[in-house]
Amino acid sequence: MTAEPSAALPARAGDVRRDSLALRMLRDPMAVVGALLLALLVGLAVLGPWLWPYDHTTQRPEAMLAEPSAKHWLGTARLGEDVLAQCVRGLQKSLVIGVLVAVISTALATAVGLAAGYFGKRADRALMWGVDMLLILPSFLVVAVISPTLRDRSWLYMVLVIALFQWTLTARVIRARTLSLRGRQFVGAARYMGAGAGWIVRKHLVPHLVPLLVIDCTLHVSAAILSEAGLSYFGFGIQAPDVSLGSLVADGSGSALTYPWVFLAPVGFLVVTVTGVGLLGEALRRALDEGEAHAV
Amino acid sequence: MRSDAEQPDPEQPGAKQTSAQQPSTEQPGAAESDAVTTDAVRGVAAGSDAAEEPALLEVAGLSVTFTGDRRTRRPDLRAVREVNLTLRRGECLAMVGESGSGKSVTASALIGLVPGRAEVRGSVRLAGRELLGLDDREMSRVRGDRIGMVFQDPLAALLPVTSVGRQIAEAVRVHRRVSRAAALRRAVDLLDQVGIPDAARRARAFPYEFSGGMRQRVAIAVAIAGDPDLLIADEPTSALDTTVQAGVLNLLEALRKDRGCSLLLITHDLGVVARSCDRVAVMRDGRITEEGGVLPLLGAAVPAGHLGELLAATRDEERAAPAAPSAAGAPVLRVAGLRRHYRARQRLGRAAPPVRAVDGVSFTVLAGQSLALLGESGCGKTTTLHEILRLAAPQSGRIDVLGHDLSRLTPRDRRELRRQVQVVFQDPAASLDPRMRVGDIIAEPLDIQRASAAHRATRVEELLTMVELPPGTERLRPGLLSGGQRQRVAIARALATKPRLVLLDEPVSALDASLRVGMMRLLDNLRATMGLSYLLVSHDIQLVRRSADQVAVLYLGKVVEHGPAWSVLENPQHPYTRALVDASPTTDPARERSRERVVLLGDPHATPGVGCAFRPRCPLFPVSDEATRGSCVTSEPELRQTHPEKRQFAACHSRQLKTIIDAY
Repeated sequence: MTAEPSAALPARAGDVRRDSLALRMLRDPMAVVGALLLALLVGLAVLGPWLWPYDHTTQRPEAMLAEPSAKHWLGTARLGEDVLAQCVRGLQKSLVIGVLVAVISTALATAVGLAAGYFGKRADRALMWGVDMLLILPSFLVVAVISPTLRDRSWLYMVLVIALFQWTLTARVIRARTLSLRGRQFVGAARYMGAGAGWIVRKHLVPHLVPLLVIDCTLHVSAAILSEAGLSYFGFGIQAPDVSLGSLVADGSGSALTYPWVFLAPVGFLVVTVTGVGLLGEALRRALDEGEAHAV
Repeated sequence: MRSDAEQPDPEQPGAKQTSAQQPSTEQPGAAESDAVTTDAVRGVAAGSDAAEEPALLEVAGLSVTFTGDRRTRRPDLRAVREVNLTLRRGECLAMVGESGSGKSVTASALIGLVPGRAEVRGSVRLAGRELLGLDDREMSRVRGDRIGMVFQDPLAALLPVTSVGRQIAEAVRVHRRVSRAAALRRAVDLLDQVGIPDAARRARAFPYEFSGGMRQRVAIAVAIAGDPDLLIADEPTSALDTTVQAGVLNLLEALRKDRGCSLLLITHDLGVVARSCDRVAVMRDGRITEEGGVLPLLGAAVPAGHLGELLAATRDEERAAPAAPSAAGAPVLRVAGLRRHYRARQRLGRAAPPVRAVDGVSFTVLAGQSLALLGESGCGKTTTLHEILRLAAPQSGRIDVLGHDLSRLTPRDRRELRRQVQVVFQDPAASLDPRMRVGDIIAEPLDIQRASAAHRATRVEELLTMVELPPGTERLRPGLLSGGQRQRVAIARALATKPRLVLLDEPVSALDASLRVGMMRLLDNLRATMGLSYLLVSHDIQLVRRSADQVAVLYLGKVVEHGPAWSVLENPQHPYTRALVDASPTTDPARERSRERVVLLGDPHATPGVGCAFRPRCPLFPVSDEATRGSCVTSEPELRQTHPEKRQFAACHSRQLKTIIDAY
């Protein structure tokens, strides 16, 4: 830096690189693989029902537990249902539940974490007490206990229940980040300009939390898919005649050794889905960290 | 630094070392011309040096390159390029340069602790032994045993959970096979040597129980524990107050004389160089541009090269005429009897006395004028500033801003006052949101006040011109700007709402010396053209002399002297002001080495409770007569007019203040 400060401004793309997030992601093989896997699965989930003549309820008694063939790529189940159609239906449910849970729990965590961290004192104590309570409760047990009452209602209730037990840790992280951000001088400067709480939260706190929120949201998707699968496996989740990957795994587990395709197909879909989301989340975290390093 | 020897060295595997006579691979022309000037200057220096003995430290062709990252397309960074240095026994060499010029990286390379992925080439010989390429274990032995290191921030260098005595003892035991008890005795001895009073008792204290200057002394004790031949001090006094700085520099000087060790002093402060160094090497962009004796180089009427540029900035400041008095109007800010006490944490159920951060401060800022609050860290100047900025009723006392009593503000008035009172903080890297674009940062006060979009756009443009930033800056984020540019952004933001009073909290002390003058000139011009009033918080005498009309000197939350800036600083009437003025270094080596100065001893935060708060450190107290001393002990001095015709006030009991100070 020389004597005249105003002379040289760095060129926009020259010596200091600050590529867009998308560009950085494209350079990362992990991100590309994750994104491709997810795109494939989402495509399958959306288009699947139009691609072949069966849906998950179609029963063909003439072909019960048939091996994979040209007609049924992944074979058929006990009542002659097409396994591929079932898996696609299950995938739809799992993805929708995963995304909904992730969005709801991240939103809840942000609201509670920000409020506790920014307002502090009594609000902080009350909210964090609530979070601790939820963390103490054994979530699986609670869900198991209340699931019979949800049995006849929409699966959306299950989304809410899963979300209820997923947001708490994120809320604690957001609170901690908010506490440290609140102490930064630019927040103090904004307050001395006359900015209110809403302004500071919107303009200074949330933008700094975005990377964290994006990463957390993706991780919540895979966690929620696994939770739902677990619940459905034990019969607390999605109820017949509807299916999810979890309930399919449960149904197939009995004949895993005799008719392996009934079991392996949903397991495979589950593993690939969670892997895809996980890869994408990890790649996002790396790309955002890199951007962070440039921004500061 | 707990102990150098124990620190793992992540760099060694990556470091590559080649022979000393490695031919310069790039820009041979540039390197040659450098060598010529360096040699010419060295010739001058060597001429004055009679005894020619083998050098302790010889650095030849030292280069440090931080390797880039292909994935993120970060290019290689050549931090140090072909540096040559020699340091004789007992000599003090200063390395100066602006931030980013490669001084600190050079020092890290000498002790084999270059941070990050880096390639180190060239040769570093200590007493004839090549250091580059030594393995981790051997290098650890050299560090601490032959080379001691003192860092800028002693709090970060000391371990917070161990008593200082044990930390020093640990350093002793790393280098010598002695018993625990013997090491502790040696630690007490070392603490005594670095000027810690009551060393035996203080050895059991923890780092947080020491003030900044004392902490740095402890860090120095750790560094000399292994009795090194070379002491490297990286900005050892930059984090300290000027009154404390003198003491630490004296200590380093004394250690060098007593132990015959050499000192490599890295600093950006040319005053420090002028005061205590034999030779100086000037760095810029990783190269040494000038090197030679301090007296010929700094003493020259027209210093040459990059050193000249560095000096010009500080010299301008030193020689600048005091600020011409500005036309004064009605009071803009009136503070009367302001108090802010903080409850101290209770210890084992015993209530500690409250911390009196601000304890009865009064002053008035007139329209168009600039008033400086001057004092060391912890004197309450920043607390005062924040009390005003809160625009709320103070704990005690009264604050009037633009005629409004802050304890009786309606919400509407407060909103209006937020527009009229703005602030510029010390460190723009902290006060600007790194995620916002410059345009949004500057317009933030307008957005909060809900200005129209059209007004916003034109205003941003106007403001950028006002602070002399090129158009287009509004699209960038502050991370891409230099420190000076960022501070201009902060100033533009403060001016966005056309305020009448601007509070400046050390507005230039985070900047390189060469930028400070320009920034203050900009602030002075803006004040004149926009009719602003400034409340300037600073510890920098030169800056206050240049830019303030009035000054109030704060000591432990109280005003001890106030009056017109030129009068107070030219002719200080309070011993504390006098010490502050004396401690402010100048860059003229001849003057700097010959002048007498009042050196303040003791802990700057020790309060005696009753009587004059400055008493424990006062140089006048021990030499005053019996009656005066009595009143110093029993009663707190009040501000009195020091001269019937002057509007200068000082709070000191000493009657013959002037004569005593002059005799001192």
